[in-house]
Amino acid sequence: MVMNFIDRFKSIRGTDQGRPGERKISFARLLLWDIKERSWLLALILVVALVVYPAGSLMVIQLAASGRGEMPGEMLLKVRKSAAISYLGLTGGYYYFFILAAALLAGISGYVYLEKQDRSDFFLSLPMRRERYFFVPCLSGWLIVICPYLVSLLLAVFPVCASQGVFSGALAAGVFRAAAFNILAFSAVYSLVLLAMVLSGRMLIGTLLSVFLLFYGVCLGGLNELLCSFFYKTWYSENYGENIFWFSALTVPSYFDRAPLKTVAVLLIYTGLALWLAVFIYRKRPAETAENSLTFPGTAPFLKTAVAIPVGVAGGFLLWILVGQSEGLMGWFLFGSAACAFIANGVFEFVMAPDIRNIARHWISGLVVLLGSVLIPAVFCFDLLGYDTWLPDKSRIEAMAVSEDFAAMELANCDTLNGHYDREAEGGSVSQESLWLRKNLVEDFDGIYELAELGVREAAEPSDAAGEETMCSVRILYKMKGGGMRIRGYQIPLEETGEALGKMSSTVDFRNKYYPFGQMDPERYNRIALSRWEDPLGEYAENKITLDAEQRLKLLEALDADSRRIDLLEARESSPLYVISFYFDYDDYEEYTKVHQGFDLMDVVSEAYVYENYENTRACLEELGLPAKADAACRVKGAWCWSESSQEALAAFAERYGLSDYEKLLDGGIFFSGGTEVEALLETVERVKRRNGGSEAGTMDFGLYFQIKGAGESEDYETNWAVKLSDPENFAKLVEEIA
Amino acid sequence: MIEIKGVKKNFGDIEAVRELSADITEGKVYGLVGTNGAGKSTLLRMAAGVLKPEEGKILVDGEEVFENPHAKEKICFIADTGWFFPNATPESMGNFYKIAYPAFDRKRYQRMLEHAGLPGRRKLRTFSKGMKKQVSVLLGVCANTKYLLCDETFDGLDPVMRQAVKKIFAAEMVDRDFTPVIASHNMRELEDICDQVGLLHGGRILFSENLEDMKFHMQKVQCVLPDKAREEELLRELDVLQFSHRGTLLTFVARGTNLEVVRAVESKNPIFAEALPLTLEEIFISATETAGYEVDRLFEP
Repeated sequence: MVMNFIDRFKSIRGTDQGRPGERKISFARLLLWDIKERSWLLALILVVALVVYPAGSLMVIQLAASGRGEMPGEMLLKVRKSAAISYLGLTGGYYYFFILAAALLAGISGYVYLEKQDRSDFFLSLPMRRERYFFVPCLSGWLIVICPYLVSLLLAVFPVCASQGVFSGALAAGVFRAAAFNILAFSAVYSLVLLAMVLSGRMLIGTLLSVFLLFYGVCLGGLNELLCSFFYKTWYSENYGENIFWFSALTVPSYFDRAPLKTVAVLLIYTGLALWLAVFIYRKRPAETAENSLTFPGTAPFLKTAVAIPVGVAGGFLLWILVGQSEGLMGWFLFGSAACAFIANGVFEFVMAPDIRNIARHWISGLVVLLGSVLIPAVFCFDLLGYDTWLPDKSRIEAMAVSEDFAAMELANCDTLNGHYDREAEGGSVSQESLWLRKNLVEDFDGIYELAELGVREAAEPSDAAGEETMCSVRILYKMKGGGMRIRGYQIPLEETGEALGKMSSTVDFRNKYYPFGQMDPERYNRIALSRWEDPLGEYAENKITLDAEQRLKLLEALDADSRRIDLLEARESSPLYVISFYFDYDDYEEYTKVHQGFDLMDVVSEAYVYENYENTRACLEELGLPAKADAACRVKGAWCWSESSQEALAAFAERYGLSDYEKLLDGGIFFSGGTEVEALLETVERVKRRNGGSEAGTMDFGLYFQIKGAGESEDYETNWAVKLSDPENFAKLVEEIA
Repeated sequence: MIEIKGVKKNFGDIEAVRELSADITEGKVYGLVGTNGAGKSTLLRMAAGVLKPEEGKILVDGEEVFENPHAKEKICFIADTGWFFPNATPESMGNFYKIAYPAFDRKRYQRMLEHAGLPGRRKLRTFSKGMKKQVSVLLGVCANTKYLLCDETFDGLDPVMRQAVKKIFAAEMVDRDFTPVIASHNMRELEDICDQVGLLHGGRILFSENLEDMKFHMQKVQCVLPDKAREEELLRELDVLQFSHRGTLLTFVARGTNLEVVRAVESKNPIFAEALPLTLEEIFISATETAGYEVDRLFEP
């Protein structure tokens, strides 16, 4: 019975190709044979992996402990564990280099037989389907890289980490989770190299094609970003790197920390698509193309166009930068682009067929290259597509948003000192700003649209106003009814924003989203301090009180109710009574180090103004025993005063008021020492909430930096003010005396 | 049987094979002869399933060969420039052939290597061209496939080895179902071994016939006729493929049986007449000249 079963089994295996019982070529044995043939690569990768992982991790763990002799043992162990996981995990430039080098070596060595006709004929005559044979070097190359990697990782995790006392289940899980991802990332890069090899079959061209497939998206995206930022006045960079589908299999892994699922999905798509294409092309690949530069010679003009145009444009741009990058020199850009594209065209043809006579081959695509290399720079130089003047009709827009810092500078300063509420967790990167805009779209967008109109007008016909003092920058997000989103950055004359700001601040939707004290997370702060607006002692440390959860929530609700009620434009022009500073104290060192590399264990989360008519807030503060009585003793040790106006404006001011040594106000400032001098200074200035007056507005902007002695045992601290001059004449005299 | 039906293959603008049809019958040694660039290698590469014909098809025992592993299992292809793995030895190549052709007879291969005096463990890259050819042939024979396609395999073999290979082929054909197909320029070699010959020229097959039949239907005669008029008359009457003069001695190759040609010559009352043995080379030259490939015109300025 057993024999019958075996016979049947053999028969079933034999029917694979239609004839029962015949012995077939063994895929597994071919695979082993190929691995044996490429044992040099296996040995090379094993040696490198052993150096990088077990030896490297040992070194990193030991180095993490060096120089930290005074650190408590438990903390030191955490540092060593952290070093181990970060080294064996995803990060590090060597990781990309390792993936790229391994993929190139494994991919090229596996398919280099396609380069020569005799070798190609030998393998293609084997009794095996082409797609099946394709997977022999494909799989063996993959195993040649992955097996040594896993072996060395196992050695690094178990013997090395265990012997160093940093091994834990969490570490092993973290490392092997990272390894799974690394394998996927390698597979994506490797499959693109295979695609390049079957598209060419030649070692040199295959390598160049691999580089093309791996870096083209990144280079093109970078070039586009560069040109847009140079030539479009309203260009807004949404952090182009976020669009990971655009980018290559090599750069995508860097997004894993931010978007793990999306990154894995993208890598799977890269791998699947590249492998499918590679198999498809391998099947269709005519054997006679061995020794040709490309499997399908018809692809050469397209490849050349794809390469030569961006190379030309980049070269032209570089030339334009070198000759002075002014608007009057655009001709250099166009000329340089055409010249570089012409050279790139010739080099491409020469690489494909190394004969100098061949550089004029494919003249039609050569013409396309030349045309493209002139047309594309022209699009940027002369804004042929009307990028800067684009403004959709209101009926096509669903919602709009305006940038947080604009709202903060121009309106939010009405109710907060520093203009931000709870943004620290989102960071300050450009991409975070675009996310913020997406979250704060308003449908009643007349005011924002008005701002956009001002921005477009300014881009088309720049006004005479210039500089930070008279212009403000604003980013506006358009959400179209079709679902598309566009962001533009505009420069707008400050004096023209009033009407738009009025419209914006009178909109409920806008007020709810842009002044969201009610949305501030009560968990984001645990202490507050209250200071009087005109008291230079500022947010003095001894005045801080700790609030429980209920108190925190109640205070925020009160602030929210009060700040929604006030007229923002009026508030902008008036002075508050108090400033509430919200703090977060990091008691836990480890928690703190996760957030900060900085110096202070206390972090200011936000600061809110309290106006006279903030009844709810003032009642709430009273319940908390605030404002505390300030220490009567003058503890102001001194104040640095410096100018924030331009040198020209300050020079004009100095001439007008007979100030001779005014340059010190620009270079580091003048120090007013002791209470008397500071008191005299304070009589000539007035604290302001924003700096946008300048000499054009008839005022001068100055900064004051107070040095204050801590009360009792408290440490000394500093407070920073923005001021305008209320008595310029006396201010000038005072400065003249002190200087 | 390998059936070649209206096969066409172009390499860019070059027509390598043009509507070629022929049958390679089993149990016979098939010789493929042709001028340089006639399409011999292309035809063999198509028969081995390496190249895909643009038109027509090649059937191996009734199955199309391209991308058909079952049909390709019956074929072992030895290219003119045989390829070995880098650092391979005859022994390691045998191991690979055992994987690629499961019926490969490794013991026999070892024995044959020993008989041929080829060191099994020496790197093949240190072998001479002829020694490499020997290894290729031995690998091909021991692969035990039904058809063995040899492209210029006999070039580079020394006469002793050539004879030995011929013997091996003969023995194989006796022992098992074996059909070698040999492409070569060397007519002398093919003449000794081939049963059937296909003559390729300019991508077309001029004829594909049994060698004995071919010789039966083509005659070479040397004669002296009494006058020029009779000579011209004779050349008109016969289907002459080639003729030449040396003084009054006329030598010609003509189609027809021995009886037909001799009768025609005798009817002209020759002063001297003699039938000469016809070599394959002469058949080749005659046939190709008729097809427009004249040696005299080759290097005309």
